[in-house]
Amino acid sequence: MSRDALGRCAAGNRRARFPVVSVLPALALLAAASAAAPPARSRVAQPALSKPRVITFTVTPVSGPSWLNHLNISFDATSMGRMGQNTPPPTVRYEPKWNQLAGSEDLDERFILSGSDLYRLDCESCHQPDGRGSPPEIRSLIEPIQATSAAFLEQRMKAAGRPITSAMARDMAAGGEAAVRDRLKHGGQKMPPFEHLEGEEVEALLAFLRQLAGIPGAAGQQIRITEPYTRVGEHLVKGTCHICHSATGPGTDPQALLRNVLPSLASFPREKTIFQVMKKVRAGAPIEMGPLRQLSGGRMPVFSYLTDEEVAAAYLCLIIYPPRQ
Amino acid sequence: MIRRMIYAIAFSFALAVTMAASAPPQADGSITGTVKVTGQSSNADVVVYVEHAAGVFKPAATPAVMDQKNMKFIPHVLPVVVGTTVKFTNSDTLAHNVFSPDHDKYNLGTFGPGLSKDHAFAKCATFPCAYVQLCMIHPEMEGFIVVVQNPYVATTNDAGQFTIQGVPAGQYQVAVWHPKSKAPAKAVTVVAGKAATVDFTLGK
Repeated sequence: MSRDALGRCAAGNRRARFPVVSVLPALALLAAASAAAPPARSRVAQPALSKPRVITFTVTPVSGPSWLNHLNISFDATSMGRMGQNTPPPTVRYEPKWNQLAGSEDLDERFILSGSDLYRLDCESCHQPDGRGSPPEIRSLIEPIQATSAAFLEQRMKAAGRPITSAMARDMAAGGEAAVRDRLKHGGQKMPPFEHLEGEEVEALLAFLRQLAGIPGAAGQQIRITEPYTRVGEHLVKGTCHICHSATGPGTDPQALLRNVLPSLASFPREKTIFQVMKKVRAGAPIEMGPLRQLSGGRMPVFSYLTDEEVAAAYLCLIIYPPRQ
Repeated sequence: MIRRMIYAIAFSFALAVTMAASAPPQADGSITGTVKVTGQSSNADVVVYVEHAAGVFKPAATPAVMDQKNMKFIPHVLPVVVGTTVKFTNSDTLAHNVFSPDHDKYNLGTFGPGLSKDHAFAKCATFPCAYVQLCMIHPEMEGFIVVVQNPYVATTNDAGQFTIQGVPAGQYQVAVWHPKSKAPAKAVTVVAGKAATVDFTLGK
């Protein structure tokens, strides 16, 4: 996989192309935000885990209308993107090394993600922490994932008193896995396509989904990958924020909010500080709403299952890769 | 009100005339009746069939269709004459898999919206051969193909009623098939131009 110019920029190999002026203050804020984080966040070395894999990818700007606008669904009439709620913290926490970040060449070695982290960034806002979604609008992903395991299918049919051969189970599991991969890449009637996921990211995500679906032995086959903050931000922007927020368009307007005109992603770095965005996303900070500009919790879910660093990464991603129409 | 009744009478008359006109001239009768399934909420989806009829019966020229819609196999129970090809269609917005672990087991693979897969039910050692239709992606889905020897077969409606048309005059054993319940076969004599009545009560 070749990287485009922006991708190389993001990887930090050609720092001259960075929009340095706008990024550095944000990086400083990112540092401050992380410094304020509780000490429990430090990344503990876990010898049992596999060595994180370095992956190849291309970061691209988010573009186009929100997925809800694309489907012509009102924010109030859907469960999509609304599953932000109290969930356990991510398995692997990111501890930035600020003195390195300021002038480092290895910006692409920042985050260590497991499949469960990719699930939080790309899937959880619709499919819930347990993967069961919100039927019938958002279907459970558990059963389709179970259908990718020959051993699981064979066991299930045996328990149902209708045994099938191992060869048949393997055949069906292969078809099931192809269907899941196709679904992820091309989406469905309501599910958006997750074209930005590549190679090892898909493998890491599928490994976690198998664990989530209770497939025996899956817990021991988790994959970890390392990614730069731009890529982490891209996951969050495209996998979660873009469900409801369009790439470009109007900013935060108290009156428009009442009419379900949600502020565009492009407006956040322009109108809000990184702290405001973090507080809103992670803690549901009140916003001005309506003609009287009253402070309100608004309708946006609280994404407490995200970390400050992940939200900051999304904010920075929006600066470095400005949203396109 | 009166006008509506007149319409109804006129319509029934027209219907009777049409049916009489289109009735086949050969010496066929029909078998009709009501089936009750004890312990089940519905009396539907019971296959009522003539156990054995003399002759060799050609399967239908066009495939029978079992659709998948709203995560259900439709019809839930589909009786077919041995040798019939069944077209499994997918009218849902997501991929389905069709397989059966029964008899000569088959897996038609996973296919997306708007696509279909054919399967010929070519043989059956002892009639009827019931194949459960499952989708491994959606374990809650279940349907049945019931392979029978002859075309003298019907499926009950919610009220348990059925009618088997065009049965040649003669003596038959009429049997029932249901996914969960059973009843012994009954002897029925079909007289040309008349409807023979037989009722069943199915239990465990």
